[in-house]
Amino acid sequence: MIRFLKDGKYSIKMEFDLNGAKELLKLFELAYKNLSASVLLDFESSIEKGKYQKELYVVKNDLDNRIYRKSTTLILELDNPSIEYGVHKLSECINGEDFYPAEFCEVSFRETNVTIYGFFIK
Amino acid sequence: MLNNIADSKAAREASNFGNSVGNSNPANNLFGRDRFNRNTQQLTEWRRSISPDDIAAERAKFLGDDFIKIDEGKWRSLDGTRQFRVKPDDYLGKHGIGRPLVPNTPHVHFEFLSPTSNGFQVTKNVHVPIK
Repeated sequence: MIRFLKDGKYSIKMEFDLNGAKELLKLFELAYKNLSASVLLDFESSIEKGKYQKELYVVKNDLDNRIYRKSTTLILELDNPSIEYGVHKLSECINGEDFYPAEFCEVSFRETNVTIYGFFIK
Repeated sequence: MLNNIADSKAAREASNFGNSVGNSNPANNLFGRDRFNRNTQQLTEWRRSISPDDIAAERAKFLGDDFIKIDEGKWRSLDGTRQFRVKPDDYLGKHGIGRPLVPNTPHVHFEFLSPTSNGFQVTKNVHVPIK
């Protein structure tokens, strides 16, 4: 399970369980190699009120971190350091640790900086 | 103290530090993005806490007289070496701190920064609970 929720004006929650951590890790590793694939999101995933996203792409973008949606697809563009950090944190979760600290990275969303917070649901 | 002009164009233009006039190297942009990496020291200060009323004073004590508001809930010293952060989610305790994780703990962040080619690396992030 992977769920993205806009949780406040400046925050997006990224919740995932163990399977979700493994799927996210694969996405991040592919993005690091400039490849992309998608994963299905939990049906409640939404970063805009009333608009639900069904799948997630993680894409490398060395210019800036940003998140946006295209119809029912959520696109997370991250630079190399953020992708590397994501691989590190997700690997920790797969080894049983919490996603700590919860702050994963800052991204631009509709010209506002929002923080993506990771929550590993054990 | 420049925190009261944080959102102005002048503040952003004045934010290129440690460089010569006209140098637009993003590495020297005080408003550059900060990032954690696997080497960031994540610490939690359980021996003390700060009162909500003291947040502004703690921020000034940590950042010195010359700091600037970078974003909502984030202030940075003008030399780009320190950052004080208390985003709404931190203040409201929407996530936990510490290892083992103590969930839903309101807190602030005292952070030490190192400039990189595209922003700042957070070298140390100290969480302090709000009592």
